[in-house]
Amino acid sequence: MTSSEDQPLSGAILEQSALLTVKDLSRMCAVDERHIVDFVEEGVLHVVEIKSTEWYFRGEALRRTRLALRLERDLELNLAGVALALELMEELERLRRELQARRQ
Amino acid sequence: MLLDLDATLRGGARQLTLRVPEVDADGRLVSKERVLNVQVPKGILAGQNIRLAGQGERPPGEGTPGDLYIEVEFQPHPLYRVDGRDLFLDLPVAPWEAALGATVKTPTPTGTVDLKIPAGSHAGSKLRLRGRGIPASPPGDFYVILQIALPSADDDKAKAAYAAMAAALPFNPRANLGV
Repeated sequence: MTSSEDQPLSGAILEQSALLTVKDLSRMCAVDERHIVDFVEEGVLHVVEIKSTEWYFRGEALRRTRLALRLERDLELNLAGVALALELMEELERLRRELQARRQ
Repeated sequence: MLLDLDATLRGGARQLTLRVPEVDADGRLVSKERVLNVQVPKGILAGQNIRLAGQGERPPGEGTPGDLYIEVEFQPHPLYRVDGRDLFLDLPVAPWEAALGATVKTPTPTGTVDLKIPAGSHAGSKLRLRGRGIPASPPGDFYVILQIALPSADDDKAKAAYAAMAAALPFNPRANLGV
């Protein structure tokens, strides 16, 4: 079945809308809430706000969680390995941008 | 979802084809194609997600479908490079335009503008047009990086002009190489 609506579907930019909870992230990435908590404890994800025991994340956390889960699954990394890999990937990205900015 | 840069600069609808698992009449799991017509929010940046409420997978049995999150990346643009919310353009200018200053036509995402090149510019000089990058909030900037284009010296007139310049200017481009 191929379906295409005439009226385009409108959506908001996730990263500019409300903060995400542990429950949101677990549902969006189809993993246990415990898994998200483990990511926080290992420093893979960062809580930006705590309101009456509920943790809140920025929208960017979705991309990071997906990436972390992919690293776990594809490379069979443990949590510490995921945290290290993410840190190195970010450092690489930062240096690439700096290099590009210098070239420009 | 791989988008053309125009989608974020102007907004607009783009088609997206998803492969979604479905259970057919015989109870087998098959992969079905689903085409969505998605309104791209103006100003979305690479790595950001469009959230489409109620367009996600439908859970087995009764239940409301979840949301669909589409992560956006950009295809390389023929003119502009993207860095976050900023755009970069390499703009070729003639040596005299860079040296003497000039006003030249420059393409920007919002149309052609007259750009003032300051006298004494050189290759790699960076000019910033504030707020003319990706229209996010806050909007990005548009950077023009000057490149000096040399006229070819394939006729006598051009050769004479180069020769006159060589005679008139005591110029050693390799001075800082110590030669």
